[in-house]
Amino acid sequence: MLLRLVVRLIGAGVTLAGTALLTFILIHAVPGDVARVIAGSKASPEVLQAIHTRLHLDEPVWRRLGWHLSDLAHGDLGRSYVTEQSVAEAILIRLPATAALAGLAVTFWMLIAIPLGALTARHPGGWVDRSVLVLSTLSLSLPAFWLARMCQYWFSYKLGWFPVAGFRGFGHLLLPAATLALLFVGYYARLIHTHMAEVLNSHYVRAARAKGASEGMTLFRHGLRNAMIPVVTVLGMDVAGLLGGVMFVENVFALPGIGTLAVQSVFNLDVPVIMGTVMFSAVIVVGANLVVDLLYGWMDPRIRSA
Amino acid sequence: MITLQPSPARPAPGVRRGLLVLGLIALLSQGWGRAADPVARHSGGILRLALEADPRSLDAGQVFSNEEGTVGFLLFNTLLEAGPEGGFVPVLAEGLPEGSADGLAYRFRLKQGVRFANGQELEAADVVHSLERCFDPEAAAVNLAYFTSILGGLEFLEARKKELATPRRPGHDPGPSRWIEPRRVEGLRAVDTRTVEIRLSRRDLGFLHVLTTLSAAIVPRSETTRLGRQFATHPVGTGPFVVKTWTRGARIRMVRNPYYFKADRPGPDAVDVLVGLDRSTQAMMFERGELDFEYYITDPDLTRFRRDPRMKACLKRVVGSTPTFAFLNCEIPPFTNRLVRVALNHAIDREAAVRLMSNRAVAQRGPLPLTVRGFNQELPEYAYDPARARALLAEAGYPNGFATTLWCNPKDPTWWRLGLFVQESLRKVGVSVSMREISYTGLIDASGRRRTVPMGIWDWVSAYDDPRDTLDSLLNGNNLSEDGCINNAFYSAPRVDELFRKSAAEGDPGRRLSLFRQIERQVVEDAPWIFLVQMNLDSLCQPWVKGMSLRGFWPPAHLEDCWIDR
Repeated sequence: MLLRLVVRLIGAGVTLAGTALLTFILIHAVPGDVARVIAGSKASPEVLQAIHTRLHLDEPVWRRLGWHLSDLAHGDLGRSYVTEQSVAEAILIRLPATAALAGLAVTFWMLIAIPLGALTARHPGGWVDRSVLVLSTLSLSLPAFWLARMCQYWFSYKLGWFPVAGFRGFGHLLLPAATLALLFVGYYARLIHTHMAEVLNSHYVRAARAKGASEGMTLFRHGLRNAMIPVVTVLGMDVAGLLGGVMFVENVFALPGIGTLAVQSVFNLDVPVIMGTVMFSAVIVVGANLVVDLLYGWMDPRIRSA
Repeated sequence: MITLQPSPARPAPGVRRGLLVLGLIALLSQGWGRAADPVARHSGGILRLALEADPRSLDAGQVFSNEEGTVGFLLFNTLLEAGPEGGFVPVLAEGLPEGSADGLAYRFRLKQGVRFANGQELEAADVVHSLERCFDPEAAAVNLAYFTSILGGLEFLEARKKELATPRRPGHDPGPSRWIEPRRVEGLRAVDTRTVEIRLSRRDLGFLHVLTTLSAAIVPRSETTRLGRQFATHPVGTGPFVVKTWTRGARIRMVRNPYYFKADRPGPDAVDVLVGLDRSTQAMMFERGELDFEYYITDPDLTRFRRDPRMKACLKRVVGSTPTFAFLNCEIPPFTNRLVRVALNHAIDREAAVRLMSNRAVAQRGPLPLTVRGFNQELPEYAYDPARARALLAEAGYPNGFATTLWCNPKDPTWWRLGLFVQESLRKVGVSVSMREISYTGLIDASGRRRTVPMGIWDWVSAYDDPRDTLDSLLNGNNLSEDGCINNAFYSAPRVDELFRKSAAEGDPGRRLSLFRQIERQVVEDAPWIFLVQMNLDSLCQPWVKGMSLRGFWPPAHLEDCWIDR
């Protein structure tokens, strides 16, 4: 088990280092000078030079990469080139909006996906099952930015049910969370359906029915509880991904989350913030992967010995 | 949902009786039957604005985008502001400055009792410090070139550059103190606490215009020294508002400056700026009454609003404030050849370009914006004549045309459409243009480097009502540099360069204008740009927002004198 842990940790470290390296290379492949972003098109060469000196932009790229990697290894995400705010602080300020959006979206889609998945598994091949299958395919295929724009246009602008954009409280999260939920609900309804159908055909469910358990008891107590175990694993990974920033939905609804921070930093060529948001997201995803991996090993001896 | 005006909860009956008595007392104390105070009638409410992105900085000297400029003028004041008929109106100055007979010095007397938002009284030393910062590279002022006529400014800049280039002892940061002479700008002097003297190294008739720009706004010396670069996020000025909270990436909340020197000024109680809203979202919010002002509207929104009588009443327009053109790099063949440049100008149907811009523009005939005093209506215009264009190309040695690359930022729909229009127009005369997509910052960077970008789409808004800003910045061959050059056509002609030198020293307004006219005419003849269109500015302002003004200069929208009346 210890060896497994060490191997996984090394793997996670290599993944994170690779992510940092790749991100750094990609950022520097983009043309443009951050000093121009800071000082504008009319800035004098002296001002640009002062900014270059202050931000060490005159140093060779490999040396700056070394500094970045060293800082990251020490847990220091640095400071924004443009705003001079600490990157860690910038991320932490935006984390509550992203977390609230992710939490609300997960609540919405699970509240819809669980009954849909259970119902379609109980009545496979029926019109409900087929309709849900079509809707799920649609939901999986819709591009996030388009769906978000459409929801904003119809429900906020046309019907006036929700604020159009911005973030001033819970009410501003409802439509973005519902949009996000629409993108995931189809996948989760099918996932629950698949596992539920498997469980409902298992011996212990048949045994429960034979013993005279009610349909509700069979479906929810014996079926759903067991079918949810793999679903929760996938959910954990998705939530981890969402915490890294929901770029399109946050940007369309102008929510001050990590996704908008990441997009803005790309436009600003703000290397420390781009690196910080990418690495924050990577650490969450890699960390969640690692935990799931280790938990599987702990729960299932066959995996542990593999 | 955003609340425009706070609606107080209905008080309990006992409280209501008390309020009634207090109200009666207040009425009696003010004089029964007196006309309602216009100030009281127009004060209160919240002005709701939106920005596309979080401002990088709200330090007056560092602000350069249009929207940041509009917010900046809510926080800061200048000594003077542009007045009617090209004149000036004193703001922080008590009156217009006394000028010396030789035109090389101005003496300003400051208004008495003006305070910054932190309560500190405005002094002449603050004015000296504010202008001195424009020469300090570490203050990252964005418009240093505006102030170069101040005596000793460039020497001060050189000293600061040397300091920056001097390796500092590890662990020893000398801080803001200066140790290489000169430590002060010679031409800036606080005569007493309320008198400032500005001496120039040469006569500069555009200088007073420069003092109306946000770059010349007055900041408190104590705060900028104490906060250093943090002043960008904790701005303090003498303007009508002060930043109360700034939630990065989300919202800026400004409240009335309690020390604002125009105490009887009507105006909203607060300004709420939402951050990160693209233009389409802003238009939707405006239409739903969730925003009070939108700086710039997109074509589809404008088309829609023109059909809606309610929204049409909210439209505000400035005609021809933004020349938009394709610069031709005069150092890269074949654009080194004037005949080629003229030929390309004949290949463009400007009226078609205006139609392509949904009639939100006028045809461009010269480098100056239409809004700048001195724009010459009589300038010759390049006729659309593809046959002549082909003949000129043949005469220049390109009978079969040539291939080139047009650099353009696809994120700007106006630029991109004009880029494609130029591509198609030039194809008809045998010039094959391939489009190169590049970000805005990438284009600034690349086009400022010598012999890098053959041609590109660009635009310009003048910062003040004088031809110097546009002509000197974009077309003065005396200012060419290897990197970071704003003259992205790298245009330099001996006669024009000489005219620029003469205009810089010219003290007579009439002769100076004549020199600029000559420059303008020569530029049109030399054609370092393909002249395209002068874009209009179309903004939206709710009918209940009064006192908002749109100008043809940067920043076009001014909200500092507005009030809400609903």
